[in-house]
Amino acid sequence: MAAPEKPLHHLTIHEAQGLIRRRALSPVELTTALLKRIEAVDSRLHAFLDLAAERALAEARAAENEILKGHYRGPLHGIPVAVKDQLDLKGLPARIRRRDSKAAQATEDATAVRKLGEAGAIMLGKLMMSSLPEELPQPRNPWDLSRITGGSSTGSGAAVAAGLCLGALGEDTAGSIRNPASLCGIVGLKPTYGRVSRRGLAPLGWSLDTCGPMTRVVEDAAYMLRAIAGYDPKDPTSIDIPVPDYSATLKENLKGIVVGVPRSHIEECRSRTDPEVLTLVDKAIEEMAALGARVEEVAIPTLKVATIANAVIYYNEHFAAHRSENRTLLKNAGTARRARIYLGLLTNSSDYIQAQRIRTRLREECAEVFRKVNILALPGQPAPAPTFEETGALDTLFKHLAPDFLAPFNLAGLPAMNVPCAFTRSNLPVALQLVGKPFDEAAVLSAAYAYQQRARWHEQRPPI
Amino acid sequence: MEKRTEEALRALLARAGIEVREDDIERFGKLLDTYTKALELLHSYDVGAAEIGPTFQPQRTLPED
Repeated sequence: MAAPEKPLHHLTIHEAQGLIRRRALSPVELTTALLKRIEAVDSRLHAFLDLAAERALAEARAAENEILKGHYRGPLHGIPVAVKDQLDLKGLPARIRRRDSKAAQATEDATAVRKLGEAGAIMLGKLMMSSLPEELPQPRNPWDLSRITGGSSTGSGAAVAAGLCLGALGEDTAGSIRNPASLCGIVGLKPTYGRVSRRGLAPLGWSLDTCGPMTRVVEDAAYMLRAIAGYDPKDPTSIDIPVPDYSATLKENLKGIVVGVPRSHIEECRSRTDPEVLTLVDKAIEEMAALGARVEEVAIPTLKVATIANAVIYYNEHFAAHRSENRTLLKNAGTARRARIYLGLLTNSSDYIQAQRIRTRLREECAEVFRKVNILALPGQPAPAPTFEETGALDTLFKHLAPDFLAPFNLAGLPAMNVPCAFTRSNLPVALQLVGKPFDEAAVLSAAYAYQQRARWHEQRPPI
Repeated sequence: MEKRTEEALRALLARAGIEVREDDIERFGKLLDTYTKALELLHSYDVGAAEIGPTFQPQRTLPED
């Protein structure tokens, strides 16, 4: 069987799984190539927090033996992936959980990590994230090393875009999968709240936190979601709904699909959105129409207060979740982390209850809209990646206090996916966001897949 | 930082038994003032008869580890 024509680190999961299944590519060869890639570029990117090279190679050898004996587990078997530090990985420190970087090691894998292992994926290690208790070099955007990746799944965005892993797990509380996916030119999926277990995920906001895949192409996200989704009796918020084979329902057109565009909300965000981004996203929506979709304007009035409601719930729950550490963190933690503590402290119960009532209204309005449309389409980001110099330590927190494109769908708990839709004149990625009704990740993935197959922005690679 | 925000923050910190870093008052003043104004907007929004949805499922019991 012919060897792949491109460097191994440029393979998608879909491409690699075909080669591995046919025994044209060894998991050991693939993992070794990625470890070499990490060695070659990560000193500039700072994507990895803790690399588990020995574990990865041992898992790769085990995967190879299994496959050679005819025991092929599925599309993730032998595929090297990595996870955001927020997810527990057995034997490695969970730095987000402790001030001390030599903190006690996790005693078991998070459920989502365990499920990736059961699917045969190879675990490369833990990836950087924003707002760790200790100040560490922040990951660089592979498209332009002077620019940020967006957070808080910063390392996941950089690693997938630069080919340091074939897929990653991120986590999204107020846009933290979709934001770096947009800025790094990759696909990021925030599943429905309750679709993926939160067991072993360090909490930021209990009723918002959602773990999901970050990959280069949509079909890879479908593979990863199928592996990690499902009921977990050890997570009280996990929902017992069957997990479909998401990759089996991907289609290459949008015939019969109705796409809703919340124009008044986009207008509400216009003053804080780069005009070039708006133009490019509008063009992407036109391309969806060319693929057969019917595009309609929809109204979701509560979107205008949804971002601040999400922030209120996030900061209040975050303060409570870290109550025992807050005194220490206020003395020693980084700027953004300390700010979040003060914001949580300033939030009282009537604020939290009002935010939860807004949440109910938002869900009702979205449910009504989804009686008429299959998915929503809107921008995945307000602007291309800024430089580190342009970025203040509190910028993200200020953004959480005004209407935006991402946080409302954390508040509503809906599945939301960002897919690359263009590049700016400065060659920086721009993303389209697609949102579905609860537990309809299949519709979101299928629409994103159809768009990506036509637009093919994923074929461009960062210069690193 | 506006006086009322600072007074509220100091009272809440005292109640929580946490000492404020004095340089944080200046550093985070604008952010916390912006947040206080955003909370006013939050409360001005008419939510009608909306309730908070259930946040737990009483029929579920945690399995023994």
